[in-house]
Amino acid sequence: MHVLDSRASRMSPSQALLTLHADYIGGQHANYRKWYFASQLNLDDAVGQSQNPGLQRLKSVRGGPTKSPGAKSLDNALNRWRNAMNNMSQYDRLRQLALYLLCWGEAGNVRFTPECLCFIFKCADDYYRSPECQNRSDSVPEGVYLETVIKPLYRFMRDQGYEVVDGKFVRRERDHNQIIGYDDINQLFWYPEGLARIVLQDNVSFIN
Amino acid sequence: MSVTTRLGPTNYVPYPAWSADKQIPISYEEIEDIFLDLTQKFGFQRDSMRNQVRSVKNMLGHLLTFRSSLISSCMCSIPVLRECHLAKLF
Repeated sequence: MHVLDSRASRMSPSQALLTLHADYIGGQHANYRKWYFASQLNLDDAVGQSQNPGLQRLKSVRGGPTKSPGAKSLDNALNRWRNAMNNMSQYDRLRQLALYLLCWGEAGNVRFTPECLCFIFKCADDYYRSPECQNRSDSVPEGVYLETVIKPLYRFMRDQGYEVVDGKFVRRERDHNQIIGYDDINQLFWYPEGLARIVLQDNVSFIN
Repeated sequence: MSVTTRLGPTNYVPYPAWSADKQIPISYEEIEDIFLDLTQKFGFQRDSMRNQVRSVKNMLGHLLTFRSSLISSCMCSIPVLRECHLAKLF
């Protein structure tokens, strides 16, 4: 009986992939899903819109449709998410999982800012689905991700706490409240008004 | 077991249970192709890619081989899982 029970409770290969993707990306306890709803959608409606004027500002910046407030739009968003996750092909599940792990694997201390990592993954996933990426035939040289995405973030974090004196890195004489730390960086990526503040090198707002 | 894959020869195949006769949704070779494609599109490091390929294979094989606390309370096949556990999963 025990053997039967054990066999029945083993996963099928499809379930294994489904739950693994749920753990990392789409599931209720996945950090990415939490970040997605906290930073992109109307999760703030659950606690009342008045508490988050920045969200409304972001909406008007984006020029998106202004939906009726309240829990209803959050329910809709949750249902859309569930349907999208449910209908996703097994190929796409693995592709997303692979992309997340590849972003994470080279992230160095950016792993200490998981919401920033979610943002990087979202950008990468959106880019992958874009015609720009799909129509590109040449391959990107090895190390580009590390050099152009992770290294600048790493340098920013390092320079917050350290400076070079006589060719050596030494801790800055700076109070904690004068340092932009991991938690501060996370906070920028956690809220829509934080994301709205991101400006590209040509001074164009990222959200637009 | 020794095989040669697109990532090079390897003499270790984790969890051979992940094979075609188990109705796998995606083969080890397809998994490697996905990783290769992403690596070429984003410029990830190949050593890092190999690490992640191995870890995905390990995780999938592990879930397949050992009991899962998530599913053990359900004991049902995928369609039923969708009916009764989807809300919990996502």
